[in-house]
Amino acid sequence: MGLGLLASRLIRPQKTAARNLLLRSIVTKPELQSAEPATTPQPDLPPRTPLAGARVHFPNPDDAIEVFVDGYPVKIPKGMTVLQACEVAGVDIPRFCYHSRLSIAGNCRMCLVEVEKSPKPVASCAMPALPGMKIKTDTPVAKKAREGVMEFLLMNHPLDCPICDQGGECDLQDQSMAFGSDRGRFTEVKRSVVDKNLGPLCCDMIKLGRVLWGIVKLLGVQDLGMLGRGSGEEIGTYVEKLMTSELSGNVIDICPVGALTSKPFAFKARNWELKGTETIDVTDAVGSNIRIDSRGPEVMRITPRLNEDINEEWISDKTRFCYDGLKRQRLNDPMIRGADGRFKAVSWHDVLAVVAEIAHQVKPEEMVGIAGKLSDAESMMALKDFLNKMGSNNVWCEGNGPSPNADLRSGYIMNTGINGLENADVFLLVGTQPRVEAAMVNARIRKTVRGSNAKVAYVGPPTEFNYDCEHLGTGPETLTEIAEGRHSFCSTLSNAKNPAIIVGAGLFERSDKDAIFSAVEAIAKNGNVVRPDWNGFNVLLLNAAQAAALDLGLVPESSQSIESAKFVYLMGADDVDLEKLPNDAFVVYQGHHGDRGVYRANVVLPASAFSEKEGTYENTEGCTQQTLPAVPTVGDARDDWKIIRALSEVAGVKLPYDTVGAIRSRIKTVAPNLLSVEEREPATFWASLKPDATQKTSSTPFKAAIENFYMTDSITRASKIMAQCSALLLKK
Amino acid sequence: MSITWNLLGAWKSIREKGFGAFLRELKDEGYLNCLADGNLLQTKIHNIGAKLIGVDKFGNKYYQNLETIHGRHRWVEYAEKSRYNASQVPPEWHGWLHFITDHTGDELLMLKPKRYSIEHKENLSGEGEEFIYHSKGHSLNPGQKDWTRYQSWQPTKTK
Amino acid sequence: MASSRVLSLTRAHRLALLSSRRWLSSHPLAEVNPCEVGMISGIPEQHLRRRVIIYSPARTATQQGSGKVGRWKINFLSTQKWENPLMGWTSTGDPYANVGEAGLDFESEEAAKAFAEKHGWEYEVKKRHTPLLKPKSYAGNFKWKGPAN
Repeated sequence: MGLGLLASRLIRPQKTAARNLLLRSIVTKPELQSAEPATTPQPDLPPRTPLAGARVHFPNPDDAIEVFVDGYPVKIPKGMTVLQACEVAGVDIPRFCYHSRLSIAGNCRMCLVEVEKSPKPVASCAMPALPGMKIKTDTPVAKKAREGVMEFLLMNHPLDCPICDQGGECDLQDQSMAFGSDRGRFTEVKRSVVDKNLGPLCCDMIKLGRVLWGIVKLLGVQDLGMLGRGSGEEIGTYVEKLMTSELSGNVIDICPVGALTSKPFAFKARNWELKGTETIDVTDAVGSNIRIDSRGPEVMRITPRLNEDINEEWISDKTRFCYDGLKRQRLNDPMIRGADGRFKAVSWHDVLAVVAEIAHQVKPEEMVGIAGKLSDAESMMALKDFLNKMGSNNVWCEGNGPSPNADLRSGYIMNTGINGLENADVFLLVGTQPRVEAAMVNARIRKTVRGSNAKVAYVGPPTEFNYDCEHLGTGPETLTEIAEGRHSFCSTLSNAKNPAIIVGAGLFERSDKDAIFSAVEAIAKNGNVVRPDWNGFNVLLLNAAQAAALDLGLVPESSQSIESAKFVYLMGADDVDLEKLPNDAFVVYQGHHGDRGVYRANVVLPASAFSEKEGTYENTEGCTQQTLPAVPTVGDARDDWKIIRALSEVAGVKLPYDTVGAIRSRIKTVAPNLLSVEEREPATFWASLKPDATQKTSSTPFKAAIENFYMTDSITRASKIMAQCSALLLKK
Repeated sequence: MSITWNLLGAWKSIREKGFGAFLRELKDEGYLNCLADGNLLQTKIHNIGAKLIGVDKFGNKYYQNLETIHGRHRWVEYAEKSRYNASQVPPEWHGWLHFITDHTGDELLMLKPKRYSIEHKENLSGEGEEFIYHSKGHSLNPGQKDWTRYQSWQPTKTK
Repeated sequence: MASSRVLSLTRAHRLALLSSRRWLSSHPLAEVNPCEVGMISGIPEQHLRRRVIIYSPARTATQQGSGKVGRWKINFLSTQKWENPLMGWTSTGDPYANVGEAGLDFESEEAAKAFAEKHGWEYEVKKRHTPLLKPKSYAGNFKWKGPAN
């Protein structure tokens, strides 16, 4: 129920029985006609459902208690607050400092309600609900209390709504419409503070407890603090230290007013001009649920969207602020490199003819196709089908290493699930830095560490974590020690109830990958990590395309294929090592940004980015999700799979699909799990990954898979904001 | 009576400046245009006996004669004698001329904001190609704007 | 096209006649067969075979209120837009470009589906994500969580 509705309910006269009788004669709805005449006045109780369709989690079904919200009985688990009880009863309590995903601050006092037998109004966010409590949310007492609080809050609030960035999506604005007084009694001078420099992402203005609370709780970086007391209070980073956290952008969402707003978005657009498209993020393997807000043909901002299983309601800074990369360095015309080494724009017709002709000139085994880290399943399927029809089987996805294991699904996805990590009590991170590889997974681990005091240990290069973490070693030999039971960590692991091992996908590129994985497997076996009721073996992937590529079987025939290649089809692949490629090889680059891959290319085919197409992606936990187009593509660019489909026809090996639906039914024959959208498909069975590996582990220590959190793919590398962030990161 | 007074004034100025200067003044004041332009002639005749209230910076003269019919008692004689139009009246005099206010343009000019006001410009529609406004994206606008909201990759580096 | 429209018109007529006997029980005009509304509404044929997405918009992350949550909308996947080269405004060639967000709003998933069927659109329904309420307390802020390790 909206606040406006709540307010109007206060004014609206209650329907009486007599009035119903009068109305009856003109009502034509049959169900009303057949109803019994309302002789006994029933309390006006519309059917109530929890707010926003919320599900209620009962940790212990026996502990349910019953409270009454506005006379309506609700069953809630013991320990919930009054505010939560009201939410279950479908009553939206106005609030500022309370945020459903942060711990309770209890300092704004906006959520006052009346509780029977309580002498004063009660701050519902901090008050635990007791059995039989009678809560009244729309009595004159509650309303007057809120009005008083609102007056105090507006006392020092600047009167800049017309130019404030939060205007139109401000809780304070909305709630002052419902509860604010129509006149002010404040005659003193308003307090003002100077803009602070919080780095390239956020700017700030005034105090509000929740923001501070949020940053400390969520980011785990104690950068912001409250200076002064009373009306002298203001938010400041200690000595204006810049906010350097990979989740700092979320304070923009947490802040109920315009105190902290997005700097790249500042003064660019108004929220009522924006069109929201609910889609997913592809800058890492988490697949955070996002909403792309666009104005006309332009992406204006990216905000998170609720998904309890993946990103809750947060997103990383890379996801949030990479969007300006979508507007820079774009490829918009098909281009062919002439004899002078310069690119010349040509028509699609000509460029496809050239590519098809050359593809027929080389031997099938000299053809190679590489899918990039942002590729969707549809285009990877088309690429594989096209190359197979041309006779080549050398097609893979970058980041999966020279000899990926695509046979056992449990060997490359996060078997516990991102949500399931909250049940673990011991984490062993092998060659991975979740903080930069998948910030949302790291947030889950951090939540678990803070919530249930889970222990975390890691093997890999020394890194900074935002939670307590034990460093066990740097390389494979530590892993062997743990596997053989010689390490002190073994006892922690075997005593754990739900141990979780997270292996980084950066190890895929190592030559001793199989040996490392068999060592990890030995640890899993000793620590009883994989049981029928708990699968704690996890691989944390790096890129959005990886899981789907392995599901579709994009595996190279030989690991040396690139040395003998004569025709290379790069589908957005920018991080492939092309040094070993023969000089006379013909390189086709299909992608949306002029990035690393373009400089070696002979032909450039412009494709659409993730914000402009429909595509299927599978995230690191094996959950299939789809992007939806939010904005039109630039210039002459086309969807990836459509380009390959057109090329196949020109080359005379026509692929048998020409709609998204048709290509998805083709995918169904290969990997049916890619069609069950928004469902997490767990790996069906667990078997030994490999017969005992013959290769020995090398002593080279693990490397960091990602050097720069802010620049991992062609979109983020084109982004100016990301460049500023990484410059700050380097300066530190 | 006023006609004799006027003729006397003319005789006085011929005597003071000489006949050639008098003719030049006649021409500058637009008396020659009156021969072809009845409207101007009518204004000139109207001016006789009226009170000159003020002259704006463009040289337009504002007259008032309270003896004439009510509603036709304020008028302007444009400085430009051949191609005059109503947009040549600056905003400060507009109000006085159209009976919106009794304050003359000179009085209102003292209230004119210094910081953000811009100079009055007459409407030049139909006065030539160079005076026509072209939208920002129009190819005839010298600072033609490219509305493309993305920046394309420029192939600069060679192999 | 024209003939098919006439056909569908006559069919609608016959339907109305057939069901006129049941006038008292239910309104005959309320009976709609799939695609029929689209056929007689004069909407160009290519727009009657569109793919649409039915979804329930998530709560705006920047706001707390839940008044608008739980509604269902239709996304027309409309991306035929460009910058008008003269004025810089956004032009579109799609009559449905601004309909889905602002114009269509349904109480339930079924209502949205029925609407799409009525117009003959091929639709796909996106799962709605709902929050999970877990007990939490103010006292939890000050709880001792074991020794810091």
